[in-house]
Amino acid sequence: MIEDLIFAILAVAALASAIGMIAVKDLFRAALCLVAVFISIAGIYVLLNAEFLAVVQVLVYVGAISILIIFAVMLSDDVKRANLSNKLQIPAILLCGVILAVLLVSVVSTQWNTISEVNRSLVDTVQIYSVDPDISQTTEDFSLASLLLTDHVLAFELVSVLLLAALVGALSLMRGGGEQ
Amino acid sequence: MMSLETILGLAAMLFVIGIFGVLTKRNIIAVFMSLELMFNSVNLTFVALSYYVMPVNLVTDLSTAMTGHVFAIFVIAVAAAEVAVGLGIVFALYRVNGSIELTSDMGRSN
Repeated sequence: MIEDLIFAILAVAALASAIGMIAVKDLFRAALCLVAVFISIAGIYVLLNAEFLAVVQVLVYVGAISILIIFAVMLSDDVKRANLSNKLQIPAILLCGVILAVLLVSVVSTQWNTISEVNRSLVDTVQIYSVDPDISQTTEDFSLASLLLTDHVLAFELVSVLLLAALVGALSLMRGGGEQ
Repeated sequence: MMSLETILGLAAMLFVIGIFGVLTKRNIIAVFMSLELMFNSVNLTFVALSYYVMPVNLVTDLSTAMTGHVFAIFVIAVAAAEVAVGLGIVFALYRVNGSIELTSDMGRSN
């Protein structure tokens, strides 16, 4: 019951902030609206048994990405009027309406194989204790860390290479390429 | 109230708002912010499906309940890399162009 209330508040906050991000003229305020969306989504993660992802969301998105974006906002000539739209608004609204209709129809019409009451507590235990190594030592090993280093180790290593490449690429772009 | 359908509907709406921003915004930073919104809505979808939908072989392998979380972590990592490179491109564009407006005469100033 209380979960439904909290979810309703967070969902309305996320939607209102997202619409505000599009509608506000001031680019800095739009960036702050984006931070509000990130925090609301982190709250929804907590409701969905994903505490670790909520913390990562706050650290990476609210902490790092939004700071980078606000730093880049200062490149605009006139921040107070920088969030304007172009002439494509009417076709964009039509296209977005079509995409939203397709998504919502497919969500409603799909027969979801939801978790039954019997397995609910099992899945809750796995997801809540997936970041606690003590629990996963006593039972089967399902912790997030060991999953990343066993089943998904190839993707894990590829992501590390990707981050290194992004680091080098960002540095070389910021320094002005090879023209000096 | 809090069910799989409502959360997926919320994610769909956030995704569509992101598409609208990408298509219509004139400032490249605003386009970036809309892209981040789309990444977040996809992550929300992963976590919601991981919470509500029954994994195929949960009984034999408990860790299948965590697959959605692992995917969301990878999406976050790729998004972080994308922001670093993308803002580097924005800075390079600013140095060449003197402006970060996405207009039809972009790149013709010098």
